[in-house]
Amino acid sequence: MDLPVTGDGVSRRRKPFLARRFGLGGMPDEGLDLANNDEGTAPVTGAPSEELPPLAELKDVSKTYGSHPALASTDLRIERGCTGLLGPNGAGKTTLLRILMGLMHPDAGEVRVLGERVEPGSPALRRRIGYVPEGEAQFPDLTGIQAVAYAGRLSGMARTDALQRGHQVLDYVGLGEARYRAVAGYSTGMRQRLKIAQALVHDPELLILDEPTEGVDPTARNEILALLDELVRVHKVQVILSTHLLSDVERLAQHGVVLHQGRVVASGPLAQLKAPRASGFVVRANVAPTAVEAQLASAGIRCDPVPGAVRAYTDDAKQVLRALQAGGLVVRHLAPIELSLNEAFEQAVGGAPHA
Amino acid sequence: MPEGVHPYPRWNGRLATTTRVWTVAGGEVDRVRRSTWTSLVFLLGLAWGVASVIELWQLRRDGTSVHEWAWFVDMLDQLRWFALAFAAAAGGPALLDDLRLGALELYLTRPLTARAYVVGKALALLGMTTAIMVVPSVLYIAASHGLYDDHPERWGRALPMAILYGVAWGILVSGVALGLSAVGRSARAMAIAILGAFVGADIVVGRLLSQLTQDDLFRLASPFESHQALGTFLFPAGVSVPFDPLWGVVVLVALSALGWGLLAWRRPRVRGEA
Repeated sequence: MDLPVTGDGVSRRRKPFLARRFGLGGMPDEGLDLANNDEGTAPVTGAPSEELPPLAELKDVSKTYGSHPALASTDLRIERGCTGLLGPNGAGKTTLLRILMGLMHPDAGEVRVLGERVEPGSPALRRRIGYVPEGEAQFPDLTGIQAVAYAGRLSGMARTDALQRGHQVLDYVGLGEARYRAVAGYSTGMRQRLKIAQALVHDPELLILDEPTEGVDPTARNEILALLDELVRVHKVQVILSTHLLSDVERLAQHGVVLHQGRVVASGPLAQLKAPRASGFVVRANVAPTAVEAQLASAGIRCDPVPGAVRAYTDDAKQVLRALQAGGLVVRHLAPIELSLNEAFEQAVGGAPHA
Repeated sequence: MPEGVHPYPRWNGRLATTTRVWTVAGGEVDRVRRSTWTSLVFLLGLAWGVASVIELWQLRRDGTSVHEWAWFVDMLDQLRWFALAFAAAAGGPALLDDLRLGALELYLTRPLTARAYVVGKALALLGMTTAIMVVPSVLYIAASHGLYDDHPERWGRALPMAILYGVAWGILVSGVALGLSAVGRSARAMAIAILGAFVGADIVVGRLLSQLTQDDLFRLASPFESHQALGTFLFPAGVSVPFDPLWGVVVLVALSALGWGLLAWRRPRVRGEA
């Protein structure tokens, strides 16, 4: 199942709607922001570069465990920037990451990362990748600086370089004060930041993170996300982020890939993923949403309540305005429906809240 | 939050493209050094060697004019227990701790092959177990030259022979330790299993059964005696076994191959790794 994608829908959604106010109809993905509309502000950076290859390309890649298909004939292109890899448990996210890292060989198909073909058993590509694994993944009896320097040495750095660079990245991730403490005494948030430092020590082109905020408290989570946000937006580090936390993806990523039962069910810019399958408008008026809903229903427009507003399912904005005006209601807000990532995700994996 | 305090540092250096086997081995030596138990066993082994040197000095002081091959081989045979204990203590955690702590993923997501990881770990363990037998041998031989004017026949071959004898034992105990660890789940249980396997094979099969049946061939089952069989080829005197030493060497090679084969067959893998 694929989400409907409408070419450059993101930019079209940003066109001023008021200019067409009296030529209403047939533009369901454009919005009239009569109030303070903060919808439709998804990041739109990270457009594919013509010179540089995409972060990853999969062509007809399959991987099966016994009779269970972990990835089924997957074609996927992950553009430069930050891409969020989403999917429920067992969707194939880990399989995909391990195939990208060259840890796992697909049964069929071709995989390229950073333009390089991923060859079975060849670790050379990993010099260009930093990986933040899920779970514990530490050497607990090492100090912070020893753990990072060792990771650097394993990546091929000379001893002095690894040590010097270890200090730099520990400072960067905010563990400078704790660098001589044993990792065993680190909090979960500190360990996650240490893993990021280990992944960054050799200054990779691509950072792959597997659940980087799992198990950390809200403060630490916010710090980690701020750190990653800076890496992505300021320092232009290319990132593939696998997580089940949609809000992490919304905060960091420009692109999303939704996996379900071993298939890519949606991929593309986040704003595109969030485009609704059923067209319609979010409506607020000078009365309670229940009154708005009743008025629209009386005009034969199907609608659903959402917090503080009503979703009216029709292609014709003029029809909505007329219905409300007929009831003497004053329209405060009328904008095309934009799904939350959570709703888009549910739609993509089959929940289909607005079928 | 460090944001803005320390800007993201870029690095323009070059990464080595050679295999990181020695980095893994060095990391493993560091890990063993940080462990109290393994450090203790290692140091006790070296102390036993020092004690043998002191004994050599005492014999000289008591008027002995020529030392013997048997004394040297006896010291090496005793050191095997320390090497075994060390391999059991260090070999189990070498792989199982990495699996338990998820550190294996940190290795294998670096530009490092699974083979380089295992070989690095094995080289470290093999080097340290062998060192427990070789370092005291060097001390002993140096002391013998300092204390005695006369030496037993072909004493000049003592060091290379001791190295070969030590390496053979190191290959056996490291292989069995790593092999059993590769199929086990608990480092402590594996350490006990390794010691139990060697002691059980030596005492129960090797000695008890051979006494009960009056058949010396059962003593082949003892890894210690199989290893001594190799000594009969290496050392001109001081070693004897109650069976054809060639069979002993065959058993030694077979046991070593079993351990290393087990490791190759069931080396630890990252979840989902091919």
